Amino acid sequence: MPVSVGLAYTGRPRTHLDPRSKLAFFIAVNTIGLGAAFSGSGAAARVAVTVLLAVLLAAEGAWLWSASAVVVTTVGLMVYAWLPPVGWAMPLVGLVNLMARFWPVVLMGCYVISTTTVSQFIAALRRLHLPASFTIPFAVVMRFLPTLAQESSGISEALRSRGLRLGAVKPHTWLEYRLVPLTMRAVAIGDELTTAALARGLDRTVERTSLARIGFGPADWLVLTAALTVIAIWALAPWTPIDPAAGK
Amino acid sequence: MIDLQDVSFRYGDPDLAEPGAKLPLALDGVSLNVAAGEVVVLAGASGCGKTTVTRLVNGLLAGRGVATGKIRVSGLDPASTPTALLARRVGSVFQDPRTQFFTTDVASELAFGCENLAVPPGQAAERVAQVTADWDLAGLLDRSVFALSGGQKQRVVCAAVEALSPSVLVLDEPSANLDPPSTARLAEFIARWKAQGKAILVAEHRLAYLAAAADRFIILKAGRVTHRLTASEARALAPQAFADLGLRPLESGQHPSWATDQSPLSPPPVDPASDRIELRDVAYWRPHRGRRKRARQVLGIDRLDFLKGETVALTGANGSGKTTLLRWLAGVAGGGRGQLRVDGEVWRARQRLGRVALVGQEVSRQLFADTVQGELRLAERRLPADSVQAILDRLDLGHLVDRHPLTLSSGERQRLAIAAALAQERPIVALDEPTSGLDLAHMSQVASGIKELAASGRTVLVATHDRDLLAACAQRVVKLDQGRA
Repeated sequence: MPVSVGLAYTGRPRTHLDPRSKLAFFIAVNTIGLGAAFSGSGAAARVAVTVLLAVLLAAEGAWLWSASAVVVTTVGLMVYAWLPPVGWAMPLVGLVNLMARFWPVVLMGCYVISTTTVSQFIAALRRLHLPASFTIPFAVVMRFLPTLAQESSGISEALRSRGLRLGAVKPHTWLEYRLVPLTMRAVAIGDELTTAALARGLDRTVERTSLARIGFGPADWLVLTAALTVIAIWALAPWTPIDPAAGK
Repeated sequence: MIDLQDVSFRYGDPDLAEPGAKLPLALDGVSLNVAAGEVVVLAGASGCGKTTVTRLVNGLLAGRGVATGKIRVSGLDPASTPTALLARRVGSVFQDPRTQFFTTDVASELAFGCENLAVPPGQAAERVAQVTADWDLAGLLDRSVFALSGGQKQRVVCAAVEALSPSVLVLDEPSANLDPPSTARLAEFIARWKAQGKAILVAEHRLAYLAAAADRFIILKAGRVTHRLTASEARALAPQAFADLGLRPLESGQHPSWATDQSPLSPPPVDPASDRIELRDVAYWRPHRGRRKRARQVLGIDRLDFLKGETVALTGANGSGKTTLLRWLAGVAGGGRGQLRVDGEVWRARQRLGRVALVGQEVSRQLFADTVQGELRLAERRLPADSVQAILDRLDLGHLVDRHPLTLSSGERQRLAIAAALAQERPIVALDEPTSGLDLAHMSQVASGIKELAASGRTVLVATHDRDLLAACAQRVVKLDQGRA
């Protein structure tokens, strides 16, 4: 079954990766995406990470997202190589650079969330010997984000229906209309989640068991190796100052 | 199994309150008991203390206030029993199925409770398999909880509760968001639990579906028990007596106070086209798991006419397309196709956005101002003060002009959203489930708000499961079935 990639678990994924490999690759995407240079070994690491990310997304049928990863990285590398950040090109280069850094991270984050169940996540983190005080908040975030996204789109729908578009009202007022109800709902959702958890016996003094089946298969070894390799390349490469294209 | 003796409860922390000041009493000397295999219904108007009782029983009020009296649930004192131990004995089902999930997929949700109680995996898997079969959930195990209908969600919640095989069940307005078929199913679940010998305490506004299973009714008013009725006594009571107690009728849609202005459900209008609002070929698809090709059609209406100025109730099961139709009409649902013609003029989505007012299901998402009167002026800034006051008075909100909308009760908020729709000069008003979870008094107020809208010449479309509301204000009923009228 194909999954759509977004902020919520969307159904059983086609590829079965262990959450730990996904997390390792997530860290790799973060490290390379945010930290690596756009030339030399950094560029090579970027290409490697992007290809693997594109394959993972394509395997879930998320072709558009997959293509977007390739396009963003390609454009990022091309712009860095051929367009010096001077004069009129400066803001453009800065923007492209920012996109090329962050977009893969966003995509990988969405991939992890939409292909992993909360149980699998908790089980994986427990096997990494992380304490419940870390795993439970993590699980809460996975349930919280999609719910908040739903609330947010509901609020913007109501604003449009009431004729309170940006433009019809002042920007700071519009922001207030969006944020105040959202904050109130965020508090309420927190309360609801606590109630749901307590009513079903979530208790930090009890060592939980888990029914989630997780474990490493061939695909996991591939992803893990790739993740460790690109991180190694990045870490062992001679240190280069953060490229000026980032505007720093 | 459940035993409350002379229980009083005050919310809040006495250490934080001003010295000498007494926190208000939420419960005042309540005694009740529920034996194994018994269904006891707690009824009463909003704020009467029903929820407080249920939360004292399932231990969710520990640390939220001060309780006196004796509470024993299957031999334990809920306030001092560890969460995990209490969850093994007491199962809880709440009002809004959307908010009861801790995880994001059905299989995890069913296993969640067992995992928390450290049930060995083999045994836990057996229990999950058992409830999956019992509750007919095999087809849903892989689904995301965000993709379930309201009825399916409540089924998953019930199954997840049963996976822990509790001996005591506490249900707090479990039917509030359910359509009639799902409510009937809920009644079957309750009957099944009763047959298994569980002690069941249900707090409810809607009593009709419980009439068969209930053994006793306990009526609360302002934190005190005012009436104790056996099932046969309750059935013998005249409907008017229920209304006097502030309760929804035992038989839905037959409330005596509405008998006078309850209009017959008229056939579709045959009046000249100039008086009609015409919908033609309205279709809407929801992308299936992000893929266009496998999109699911949720709406397919060839033709549907409304008379200008009439109040029409849209009914139909959860997921029959009522909400989608209203959102399309209001121009907030992107995509889809179809025509809305008024006076021969086609209203495009952008025009509908300014001409159709939408009061959605979640009112707390729709109130933006910092005062009640400000809410009415948001869109109509030049509305004179006396008109604002007049609209608020008509909806019984006149005494709340300067309150912050988000501090109002749910019934008040619902009415304020209707008041905001009244303040906007829009010919069509669409309301989505305006009475879910409201008691008799608040439901009647919403009904009179809807009548106000109709009296001012607006065409009102109400999507609702609430047969009492329907009986109170709808002139005509349009039933949607799988997106078709």
